[in-house]
Amino acid sequence: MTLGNRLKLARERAGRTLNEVSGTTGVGTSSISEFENDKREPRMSVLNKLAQAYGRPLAFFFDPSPASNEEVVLWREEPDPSLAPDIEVKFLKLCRQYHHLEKWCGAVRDVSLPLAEGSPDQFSYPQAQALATKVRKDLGLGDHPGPALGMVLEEVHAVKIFYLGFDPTGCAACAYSSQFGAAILLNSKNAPWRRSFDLAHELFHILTWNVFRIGADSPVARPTPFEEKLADAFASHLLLPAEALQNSINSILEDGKIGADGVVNIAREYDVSMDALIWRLHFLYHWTNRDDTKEKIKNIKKETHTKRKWQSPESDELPGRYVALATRALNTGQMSTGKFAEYLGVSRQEAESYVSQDAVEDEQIEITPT
Amino acid sequence: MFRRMRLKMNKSKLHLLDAGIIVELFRLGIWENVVSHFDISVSEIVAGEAHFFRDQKGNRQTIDLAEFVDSNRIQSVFATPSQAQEFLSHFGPDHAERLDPGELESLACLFSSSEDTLICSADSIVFIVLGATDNRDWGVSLEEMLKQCGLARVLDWRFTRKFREKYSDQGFQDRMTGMGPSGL
Repeated sequence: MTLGNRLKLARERAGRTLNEVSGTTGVGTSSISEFENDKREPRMSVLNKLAQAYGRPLAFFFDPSPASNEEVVLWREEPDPSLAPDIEVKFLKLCRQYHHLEKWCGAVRDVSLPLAEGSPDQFSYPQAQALATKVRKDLGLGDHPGPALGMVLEEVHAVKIFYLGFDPTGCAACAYSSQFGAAILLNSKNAPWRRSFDLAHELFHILTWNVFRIGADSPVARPTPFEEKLADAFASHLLLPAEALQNSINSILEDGKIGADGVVNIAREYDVSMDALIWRLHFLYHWTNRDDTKEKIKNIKKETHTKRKWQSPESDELPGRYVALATRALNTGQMSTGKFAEYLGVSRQEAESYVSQDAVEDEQIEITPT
Repeated sequence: MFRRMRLKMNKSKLHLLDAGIIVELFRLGIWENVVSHFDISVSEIVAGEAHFFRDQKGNRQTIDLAEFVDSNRIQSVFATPSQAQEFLSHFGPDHAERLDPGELESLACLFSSSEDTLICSADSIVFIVLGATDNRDWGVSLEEMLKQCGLARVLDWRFTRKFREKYSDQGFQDRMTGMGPSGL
């Protein structure tokens, strides 16, 4: 692929017109067109401006291998169309950067999840529920999977999880690539208990990527409404296991009823929203009237909204392992200080402090292998 | 092919490869002295970026390198993607990701030039590249540079001769063990 081809591909993938790019970079439209048609070579400084506008690293334009067509971002409640492309670009950039860091530090890990197989038309609610049971067991998540799910996926099963804040809509997304593996994006502006459900929902898409995404010439970019319902059913069964949930309910049941406080406490215990909990109860106890269930949710929320405060969400966008690998890469000469600053989204001066803190002494500790 | 000379007392050509060096010189208040002492060049990308430093009172001060380029007090050099490609062909495209864009442009430019220019950096990867290409004597630390022009200071680790030597040697070891680049 020529440099011109790559420039055009990057612009089109970023969803930008020549005029838009010209407006943000100050590079003339005719020049951009000439670069894309390999009629003229840009200076490195101009290429750098274009790379920044497309959210691509400079390395993308020097990669001799054919550009991959497989990177698809799958949204649960896609954000406003004017925002989605930028968020996708940022998310994919973080995924690639994470993969680079793993490679440079010799710490590449394969995704080790019980991936589902089969065809989309064979996949229904019983399969989604069975998959949830299998995942809970295989991942050793226990009776209350919510609080530990993110850590287990990240630390044990090599799923990359990022938190970005976006408004006014949009809650989560995922991507699966043969290059960087499995990655999930959560909206840091959502309440923590909603993010748990989003995480489990996205996990379903990762686990069934080969079922629903593969087969066409390019990956299927949008889930069907039915696939989304399956993902919700999976998330609900994963986070709220029937037996454990029934035991929790029985322990606070008084005269066959539980109060609003009890519902709040169980939702906290399982790290889910009240909506998710009550809908799970709807199906678990075979309630038949959906309107009644909606009314129950409304009433309980009305009674408890002042009691369950929204704790400020964690502001860290980057996984701890990502930061640790970047620090290691910097201090072993695997990456430059400027790149480190870019990867961590910090100023160059702040990045330099990582060198000063970690590399002043060359003291060594002797370890005798046992 | 790539000849470089050791630092001399007359106006030597000195390429400031990363912004960290420039910022430190401004922070120390000796930028003007260094500019008058050496024939300074920076990459076009570094020259076009916004840089700032905190003065002794902690106030943010902006650095306007364009002003120095426009008045010909320092030189801005540029590279083309073809030159960068040629440089990367010895290391693999991965190095375009590891290096800062300004550093890649500088190295592409310097490796395609036969001028005698010393390279001042505070970035370990740059010294590794020089060591791996058996060009350790092209590199100079800020500490050595300031000592040569009588402006010696106590500096952070990354600006010292020991830092440069450590990573230049690491690059040279990579070359010896076959982990370095080929053809340079």
